[in-house]
Amino acid sequence: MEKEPLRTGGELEEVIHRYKTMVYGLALARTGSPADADDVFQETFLTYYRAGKTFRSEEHRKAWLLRTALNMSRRVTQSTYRQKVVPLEEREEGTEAFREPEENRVWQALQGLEEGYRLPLYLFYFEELSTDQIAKVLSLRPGTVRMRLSRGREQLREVLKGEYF
Amino acid sequence: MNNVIFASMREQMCPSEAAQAALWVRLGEASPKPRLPLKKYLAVAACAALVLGAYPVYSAIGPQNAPRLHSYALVEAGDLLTMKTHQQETAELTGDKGAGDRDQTMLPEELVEAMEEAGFATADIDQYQALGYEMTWAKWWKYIHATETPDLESLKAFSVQELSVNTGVLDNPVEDLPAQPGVDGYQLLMDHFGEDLPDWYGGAYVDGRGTLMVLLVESRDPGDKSLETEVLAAVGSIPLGFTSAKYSRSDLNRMNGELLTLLDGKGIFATWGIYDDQNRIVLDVAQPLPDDLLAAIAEIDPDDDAILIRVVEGSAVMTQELMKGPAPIGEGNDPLPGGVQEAPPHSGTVKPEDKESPQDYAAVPNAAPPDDEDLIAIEPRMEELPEKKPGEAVRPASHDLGTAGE
Repeated sequence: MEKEPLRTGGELEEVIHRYKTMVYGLALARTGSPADADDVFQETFLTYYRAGKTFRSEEHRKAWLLRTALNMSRRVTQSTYRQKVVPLEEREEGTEAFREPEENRVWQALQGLEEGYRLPLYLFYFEELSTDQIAKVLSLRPGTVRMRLSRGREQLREVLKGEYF
Repeated sequence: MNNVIFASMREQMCPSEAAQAALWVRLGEASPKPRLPLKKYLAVAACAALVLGAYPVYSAIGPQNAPRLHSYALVEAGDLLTMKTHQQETAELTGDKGAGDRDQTMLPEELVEAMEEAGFATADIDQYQALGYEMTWAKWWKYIHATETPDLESLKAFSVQELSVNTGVLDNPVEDLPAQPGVDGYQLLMDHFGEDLPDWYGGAYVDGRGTLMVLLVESRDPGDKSLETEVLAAVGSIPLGFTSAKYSRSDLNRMNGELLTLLDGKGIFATWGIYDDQNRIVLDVAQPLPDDLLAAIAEIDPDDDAILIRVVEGSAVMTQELMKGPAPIGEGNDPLPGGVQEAPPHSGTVKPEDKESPQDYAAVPNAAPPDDEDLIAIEPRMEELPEKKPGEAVRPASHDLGTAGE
């Protein structure tokens, strides 16, 4: 079957443009590595294109992309090679991901939390999802999400001396 | 909370230009997975499941797993000679008169109706009926199809050639025929065959005109007239006719033996015999056979046409014991005056060794016993008869005379 060339301005480009920051940000929060986040970004939208799914609403499309990005991030971080070998320059680059020093400080504080607290906080403050939406994306109960948000905020306040959170 | 710093950080979380360029390259190489409409997929799957699943389910619960039963016909005792099988009754109900596999004799009223429909005058009908021809449905339609303008003369000519007469006047009466030439021919044929009947031989019988009719098994007839030539050489110049048959006489003998084995000791009131003119075995029973016996007979006769089971209602069908022949004359079996054994009304029996005769009469009701067993010829044993009836008192002769004188 002959492949149809992808055209700019089509639906796929619009979807990528709208959700690339969300996918990349979640991947960065999950992996801590811009290079891994780039990989997750590519794999997520490649899977989206190949699957050819249709969604009842934008909420469903957004939730599907978040779940896929989370699964791709887990696959990257769980690879044996990735667990043993992390280039030094990548780690250096990862620490200076943002322009402002305070932004890097907040990000580093967030990265210092355990994953169970880090992802709910990222989705709540950066993606502005409700606790119910976070619960669906992370396959948790809403009460668990609220508890983790509360404890994560406490830990961040301790690290950031009560600022921002 | 500081939403401004989070919004600023979020804006900076953007994949690298290289990653975005690489994504578009990979998207150009990839092809979307072909999508099947869910409803169409489910419909196709359901149809496939139905096709694949229906046959095993049908095989598991279908009627073919139940034992196949042999068919039988219900007949009244007085209606045996004009018996209607279920098949023929069905043909009548559907208006398909005479189109069944087996020919059926027309009843007198049916013949009158058919002749009236064909345009015969009442006088012609009466005249034809007086001749006594046994018209059958198949012969009737044969005549109708072969004749453009049916009339009495053509019907009589047709009847002379095709039909036999049971009563009445013959157009060309047969006078002083030689003593049963067909029977003699049959004996010559049996002498020719010896003990082993050939597989192409379906039996033989003498028809109403004394012609020996020899049945040739259709599936074993080479068609080069070699069988006819062999029979002609065996019987000589005796009037001979040939007709085709499905079963060989050996097959019928084998089925007959299997029937005997099957029914022996079952307490079934039954008579049966091989009817060469019908190329089948006719089994008469007084009660419908149980399903297990019908299933066993169906195994003996897989095509359901070699054995005709007739449930004769209202008749005394003989038992197996009576089929062995007349009871011996001896102690406790004295014949009644006239020498006739007490027997059921339809007791036309022959000994088992007589089953190879041209026609087996074992199951023919009201059939006369063969001449060599005519018990009427046996002298009554008068010396054993009591002189007086039981309870009869000796009365003086004067009593009768006195009464007469009064």
